[in-house]
Amino acid sequence: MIWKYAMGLFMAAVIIASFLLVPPTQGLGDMGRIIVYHVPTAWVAVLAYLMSMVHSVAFLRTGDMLRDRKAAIAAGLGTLFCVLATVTGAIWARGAWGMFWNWDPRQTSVFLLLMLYVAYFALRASVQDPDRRAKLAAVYAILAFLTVPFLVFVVPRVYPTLHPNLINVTERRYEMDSIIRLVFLSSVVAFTGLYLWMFDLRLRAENILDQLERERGN
Amino acid sequence: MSELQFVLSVTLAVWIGVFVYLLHLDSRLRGAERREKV
Amino acid sequence: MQFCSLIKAAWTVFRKDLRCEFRTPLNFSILMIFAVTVLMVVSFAVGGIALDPTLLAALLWVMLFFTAMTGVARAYVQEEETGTALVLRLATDSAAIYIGKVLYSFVLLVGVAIVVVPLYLVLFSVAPAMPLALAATVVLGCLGIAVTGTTFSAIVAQVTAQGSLMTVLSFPVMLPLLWIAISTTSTAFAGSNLVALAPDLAFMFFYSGMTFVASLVLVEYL
Repeated sequence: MIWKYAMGLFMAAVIIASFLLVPPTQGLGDMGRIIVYHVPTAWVAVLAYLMSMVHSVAFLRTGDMLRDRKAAIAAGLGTLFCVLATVTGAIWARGAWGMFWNWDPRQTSVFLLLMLYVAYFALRASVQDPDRRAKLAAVYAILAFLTVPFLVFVVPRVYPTLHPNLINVTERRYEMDSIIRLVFLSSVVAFTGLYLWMFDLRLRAENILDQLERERGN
Repeated sequence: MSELQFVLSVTLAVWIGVFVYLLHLDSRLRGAERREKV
Repeated sequence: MQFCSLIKAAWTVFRKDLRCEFRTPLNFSILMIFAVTVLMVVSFAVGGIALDPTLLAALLWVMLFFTAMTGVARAYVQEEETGTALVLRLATDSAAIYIGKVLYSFVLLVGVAIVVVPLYLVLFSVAPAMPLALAATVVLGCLGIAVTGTTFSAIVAQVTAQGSLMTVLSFPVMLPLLWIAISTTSTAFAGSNLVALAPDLAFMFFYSGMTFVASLVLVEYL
């Protein structure tokens, strides 16, 4: 329990630091701070979708409905963080490139990611039978996630994009100053913690609802 | 108050709101779990 | 299942679907009618105007994508309709069925493209600067749509309210493929060097391949 309060304070500290500690970036000015929010939310979205795929694979192998529940919750949270990432990205784009949306390969990829998971929920909504729904959704979640590496890693490297690459993989170094780097990494930790907490809450809620329904049925 | 401080306050307020809400959900869930276990 | 017998079984499924299609060409007709209708509507509306190659490329692929959406779902859905789905699954491996149906969808789509693409070129007075590249793009695009479309057909066949779900599911997964296809087609219309197109075509091939391999494994669970 204590770690939830700690995380709350930690996130508050990150927020304050992102405004007061982090200096304005050159060329972007104060708008540059938004990477402290944009990249972690994007990272969490991909993490959530990965978890959704992992749970889907586990479901197909074991048939355990709890796995299906976890896959759906992960996908839902992933979509939430994906929306946050898209919005913060668009705000950044407005500051850096002059317009909110210009179909830059990276922006296009994140839009596709959103569409993939909207489709996941559309599929879930179309099937009444829980077992069939779980099976079909699991297959789709796995297929959907397989396109993610393409979208996130291949497309921006192959097609020219204006989106900055903060982590220079070829030279193995960060393109950020130490202060920004510290706040940025702390933000990643904070948002990941937030995701895990929200996942836990949703899972517990679904479990209780499921139990209540079963009791009502008996 | 400068614009930066304004945005900071808004962001912080949003976060505090979200955080308190999640804590509220957490305690309600714990209550329900306690009742169900019995 | 042994590789050889898998391929043989897939080929049998493919031949069965093709033979049924020859007897009553329902699917082919659906695809053709839709494609030609869209072509006629667009040609009538904007055929007279000299259009930018990128716009022409985009129109072509919009037409092909939505044409596919009307018919590709039928690969698995028609088995449900005729009541043969269960028998088919008992008869052979789901992977074999999948491969056979991908081949079937691919042949259907290419068949439609063979008619519709030249018609498109004629109606819009486009002389593609790189006809081979155009052909390659269309074939690879049809392959990609066939592969992903057949997979989603298998999913959608088990759902009651199928109609729009096929498009909703297919759209995000096919979109990268479509975007690359449009870009490549646009270059094929306008002309450039073949080397520039190679990564695009490779992307289309590998994207289709990846989806194909994943679907081979997953289709067993459906």
